[in-house]
Amino acid sequence: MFFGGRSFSIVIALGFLILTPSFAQNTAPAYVKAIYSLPLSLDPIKMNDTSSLAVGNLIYDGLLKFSPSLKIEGALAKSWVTSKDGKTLTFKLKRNIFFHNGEVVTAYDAEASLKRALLPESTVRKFYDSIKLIRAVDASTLEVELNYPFPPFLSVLAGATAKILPKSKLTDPQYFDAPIGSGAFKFVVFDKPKKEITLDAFAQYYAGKANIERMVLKETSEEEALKLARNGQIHDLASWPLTETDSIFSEGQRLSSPVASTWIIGINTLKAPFNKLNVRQSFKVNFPVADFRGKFYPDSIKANGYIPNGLTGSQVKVDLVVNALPSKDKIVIAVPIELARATEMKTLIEVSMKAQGWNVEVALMKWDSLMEGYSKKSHQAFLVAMNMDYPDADFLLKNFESDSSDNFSGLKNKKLDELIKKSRATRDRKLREVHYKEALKLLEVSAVTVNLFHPRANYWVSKCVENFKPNILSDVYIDYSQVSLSSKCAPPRVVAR
Amino acid sequence: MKSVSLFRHVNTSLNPYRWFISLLVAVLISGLFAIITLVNRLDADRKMAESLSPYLATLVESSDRPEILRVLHSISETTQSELILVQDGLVFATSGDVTELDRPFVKPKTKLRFFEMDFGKDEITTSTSVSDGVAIYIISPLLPSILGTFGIFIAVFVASILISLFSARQMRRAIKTALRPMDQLHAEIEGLVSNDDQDSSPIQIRELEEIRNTVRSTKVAFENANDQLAENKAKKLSSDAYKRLIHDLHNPVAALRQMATLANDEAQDNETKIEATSAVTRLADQILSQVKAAKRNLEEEPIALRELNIIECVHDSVRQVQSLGTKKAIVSSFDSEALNVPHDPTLLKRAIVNLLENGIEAAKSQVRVSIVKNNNQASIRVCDDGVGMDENKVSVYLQGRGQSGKANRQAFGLSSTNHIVRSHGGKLIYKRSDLGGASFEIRLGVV
Repeated sequence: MFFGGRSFSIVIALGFLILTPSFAQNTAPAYVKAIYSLPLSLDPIKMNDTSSLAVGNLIYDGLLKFSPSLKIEGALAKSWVTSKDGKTLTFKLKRNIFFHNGEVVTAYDAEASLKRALLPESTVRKFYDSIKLIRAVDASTLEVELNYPFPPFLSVLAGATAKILPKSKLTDPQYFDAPIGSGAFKFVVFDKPKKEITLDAFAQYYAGKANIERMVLKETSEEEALKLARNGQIHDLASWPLTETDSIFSEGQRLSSPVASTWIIGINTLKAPFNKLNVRQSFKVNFPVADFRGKFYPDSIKANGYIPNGLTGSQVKVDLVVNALPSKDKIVIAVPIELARATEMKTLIEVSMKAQGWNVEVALMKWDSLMEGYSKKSHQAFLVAMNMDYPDADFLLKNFESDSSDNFSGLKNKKLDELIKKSRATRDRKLREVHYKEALKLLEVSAVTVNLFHPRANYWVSKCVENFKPNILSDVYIDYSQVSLSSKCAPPRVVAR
Repeated sequence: MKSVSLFRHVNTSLNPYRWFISLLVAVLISGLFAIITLVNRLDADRKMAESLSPYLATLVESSDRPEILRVLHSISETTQSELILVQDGLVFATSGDVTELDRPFVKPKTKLRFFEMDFGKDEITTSTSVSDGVAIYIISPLLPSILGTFGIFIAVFVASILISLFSARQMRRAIKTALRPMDQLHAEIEGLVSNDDQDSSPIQIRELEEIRNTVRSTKVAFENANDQLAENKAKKLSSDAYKRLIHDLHNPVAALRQMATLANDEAQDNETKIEATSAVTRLADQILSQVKAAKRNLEEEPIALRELNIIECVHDSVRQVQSLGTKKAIVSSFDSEALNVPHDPTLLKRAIVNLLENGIEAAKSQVRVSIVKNNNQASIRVCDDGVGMDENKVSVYLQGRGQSGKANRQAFGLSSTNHIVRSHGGKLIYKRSDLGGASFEIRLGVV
């Protein structure tokens, strides 16, 4: 999918690639999935981009997992119970589950893995900061104690960062060069020159060996990916935000579903003229949201607010009024050049804003550069897609906590901070909804995001692909262990450029 | 036409109705059960959704799709139906394919609407409102629902048939039990016929008891009427005997008068007068003999005809004659063992004994007695191998006017026998026997 800030984004990589897939040497047909970027990290606690999360979800397993319809199911955990006060969760692990190296997965591995999420270097620590204690009672029992009852915590554990790694390997500095997990696919090789990662089906996977013998994740641009897909060299374009009218769908299958994602123009309050609230509000009102959505993503869902449709808080809508003249200061909006119609986007935004008196320039830049500026908070504004690791407004709201390292907006609002903290500790569903709505109203009034739309994923997969089921949280959570290749289809052609 | 027992008749008569009603009732009950099951099954889904409506409405209000999806999946796993929550015409949540989410809801085409259920080609759709603009549709696969319903239909049908068969079996037993008084009535009537009513006991069914009493009183009335008839007949026979006597005496008396006239007629010569005088004496003796025979016959007790086995009567007669110690053989020849003829056993036995005694007296070595049934008549023949009788004088002997060469008894015996036979409405016929002697045949009417 698409890019964004830390912990919820996707990289779109540039370039036309030389495609000499490693699967060419294998007799079993390989499933080729195009990705917009190679994973930036294979360490679950450092996964910020969707590509890393997607690869990690194939190699690793967590205690829990999401079904395609967001039902929380046991993965490595056989069962779990929550104490009456909601603070203690006890997990029983399944028997006879193994890592790819043959070691048995134990609660000690789970303890060590989840404790890593609380380390200072963890970029996902904010999701786990409710944890007070993690303790392996015995080899098959894990106890997690929370500082306060946090209802979405099970969703956090079903997310793509709560993965269980072998404790014995965690001290190995080279471990993440060839990671070992307990997921449906085991790592084979990360061929950086070829820009591809090869995974093989894990025969001892707890849910049964995957139908796909080998999976190759290949970095490519959207344009090249479409070309390769037409040539029958790629099975899966699930990483790209295609629209239902794309001609590629005439040559394959289109599987469409909503996803818990939101496309925004992020606004940095630390950069003038966005340090002024009325300017941000006027900018937000004047931005050609409807035109942008109608022209580039017509099948997407109109955004009322920041939270994707179908999640608590999505109904929050604040009608702002233009209360300031357009700023004469130059405003640069960073947009990833990897987007297939980036140039058209630039034109539309610039022309539209200029017509309303704004001095806006769209800077098309590589994903790496965009992400660098995002981290340094050097962009005035930027186009990002926020993907959610768990289906709760909490996930997106946390980005606006004053002390969050992921607070791209630089916003500091004590009331907002209080509401976010209060909502996290509230077990009552309705009361939590009240806190969410209040927080989101504050957020909308603060005008730190221009909410463009909530995408509807249009997954393209080859006609040879069977049992591909979208996940309404994100493409990261698509269960590839169930996907198979039709025996009637020939292996993809291998083309060397 | 072959007759059957009343039980079989009743059973056979009830069979078509029993099977038709059993099948009809089984089909109706099975159909009713099947429909109720189907309606209940689908209604249960709807009621479950209805009961969850407040919760779902709250979740919709909160736009908490993940939680709604969990709820719908949970219900779906239990009910095996697909649940779709529609908000403002768009699919907000579904237990089915997530690709339908946020798409316009397309309701399956309805082919038949029944009890708020829409039957489509492959599914049954029901719906219930959750809140304003929000409804939940429950789509159940048609085939499993129909198969389940059909299974219920078959199970109830089989159970109904088994119950019907059991009922039919019990009904047969009940019919058998109910018809026992009929068997008792039959036995009672048989007992009445055979005059064996020692084991008689009251019949519990009032109507049957009345029938038995009617039969009993009818029998008594019939016996009385029979006695009356026999008495009347005896009187008539006596009258006829007098008439015959008068008729039989007419000629001898006329001859006597003629002879007396000749004997007293001066114009006649002496020889004629002597012959006439001797004839007067002879005629007078003859008339006297005839009157004596007639007197004896008329003195016989009035007969009472009973329909009895005539063969037994002949057997008794033969045994009586044989008991007298004759050296001549009496050969019996009967067609059958039973031949019912209305007769007075005492008188008829006396007639047969007369014929047997005459036969033995006249026979050289054997007398043969036989009974032959010919159409509606029974013939008792007594033949001997003697010299036989002058056929011209047979009628004289039958009238009692003849004189035996050996004893008077014979003439009186034949006259008496003739009288008894006539009293029975029969005839006594003389023929030459194939044995060479006389052959007397008593011919009586058979019932």
